[in-house]
Amino acid sequence: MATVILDPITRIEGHLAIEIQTDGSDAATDVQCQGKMFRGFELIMANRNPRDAVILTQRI
Amino acid sequence: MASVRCVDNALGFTQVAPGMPSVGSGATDIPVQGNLLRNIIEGADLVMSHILHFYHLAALDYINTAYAGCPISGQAPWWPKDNTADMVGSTPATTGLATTLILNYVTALDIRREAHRLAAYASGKQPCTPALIPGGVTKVVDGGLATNMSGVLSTIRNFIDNTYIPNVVTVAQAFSGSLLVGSAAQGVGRGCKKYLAYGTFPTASNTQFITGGFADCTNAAVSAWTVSPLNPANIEEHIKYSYYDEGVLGAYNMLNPSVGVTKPDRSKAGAYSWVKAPRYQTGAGSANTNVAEVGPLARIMVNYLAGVEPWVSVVNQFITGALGLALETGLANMPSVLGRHAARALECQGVADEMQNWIAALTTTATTGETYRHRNIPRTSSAGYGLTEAPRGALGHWIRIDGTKVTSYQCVVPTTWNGSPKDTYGQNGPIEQAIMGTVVTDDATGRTKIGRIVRSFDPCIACAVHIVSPDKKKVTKFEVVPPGCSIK
Repeated sequence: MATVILDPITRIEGHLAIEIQTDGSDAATDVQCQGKMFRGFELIMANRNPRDAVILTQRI
Repeated sequence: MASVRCVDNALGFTQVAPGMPSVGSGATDIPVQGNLLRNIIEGADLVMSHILHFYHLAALDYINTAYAGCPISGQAPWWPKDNTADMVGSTPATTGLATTLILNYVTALDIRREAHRLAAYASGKQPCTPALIPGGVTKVVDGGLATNMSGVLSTIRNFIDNTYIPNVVTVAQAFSGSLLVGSAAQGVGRGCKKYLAYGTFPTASNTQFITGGFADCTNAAVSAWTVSPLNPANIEEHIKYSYYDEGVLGAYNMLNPSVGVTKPDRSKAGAYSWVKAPRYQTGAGSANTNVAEVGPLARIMVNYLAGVEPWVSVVNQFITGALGLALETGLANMPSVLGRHAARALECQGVADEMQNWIAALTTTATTGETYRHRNIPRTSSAGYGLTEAPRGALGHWIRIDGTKVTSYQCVVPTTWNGSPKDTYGQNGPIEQAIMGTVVTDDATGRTKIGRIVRSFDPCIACAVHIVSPDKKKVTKFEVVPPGCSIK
């Protein structure tokens, strides 16, 4: 039984962590894929002009 | 593209397929020429992103940079890095190939610039273009545009055909023992084997160059794999393990994004990710709650099973020709780490090839903006959604408008699917499933395996909100704290 944590995973865009539980033979028995950043575009867009969406959320 | 399509839809432009605007000459159609320019902008971005992913994000998982004479040995940002004995460059026989791949890393930077240039001919600025507007694009085609685009595209296609595809084949063959055809212990990264695509690149005949759908490839027999048409009403976002308020009696859990709620709760017990867990619900009950992978592999599988050309021919040719495998064997091993890279490369080539036809169809005979956009935008509805295929996978935006203001906006992005945590019923997300069962040790070998599996999905965890001041020195970070939000 061991825990393997990769935090952060590099060479991707953004901040992602992987936490793995392994058994006696090192095989992964549980995996957590953890998004570590809050995005919030849903909240940014509230009460804005709809045309702003095309600019503000274009790259997500 | 999803953002402009959801506003298109909310303002009353017609949809012909889920999330896809109709293309034509009517008052509520996207003009044919405007659609071509949109496709060229989106296509060039996809080509750029796929080349970026292979060379600049993923390739170093397969190249040992510690050999004598390695051009980047000891140099940041490529050093330090994990090197393992199975990487190209680990033996004297493969150092030549390693050097070639590393030098292509630099060439690929130039090609990405050319892809941005190609998009910018239509968009004015790339990325983050102001040219996309509801109802079309702001660009007007002039005499030299198609010629300029064709020249740049031929440079890009030359690189894809003669460098990118052969490099992917080389890597696939060098690692075929462990990653394309192999055992779970070696880190195959097969994943959930269910695939979701929304489709994109609408055509003048109102089909899509890449079609949407849901493919189930869980059966061991390839002949038993199924595909069904896309139904966006089947999308539900689970938030049991995400840092979001589930509401009274779980009222905010498992909602379709059209009525979705995003209310952060940083201290929620049991949660472990800011990513929600979207699932594709094909019937009632937990047995029909499908974990689905999105991205180039998903698009290739959906289009292959749906019999959409050129994708069927492209895949058949790659498996039986370039890889020299029996078709059934090759297909059965597409759900894998290298299958994702192969699908990405094939899609890059297929889209770049098709872009020739889009450029050839541009016309300069109509010189007014009316041909590319609408002067009068209809206002007939107040809610809408737009779907597309971002380079990383299926992307959807859902919007509701009250009068002139947005009342609700929900984005379900590709990594929301691939990087999702467990759902309400405890099913792991696609990346989690791909790692499950892999033998992982806490050393360079283990880290490399996990890196290969995770990066094959091309994850993108969306960014925080940063503002750069005009002198480009100070960076101010803003926190978005709406009423009732528990974030401080």
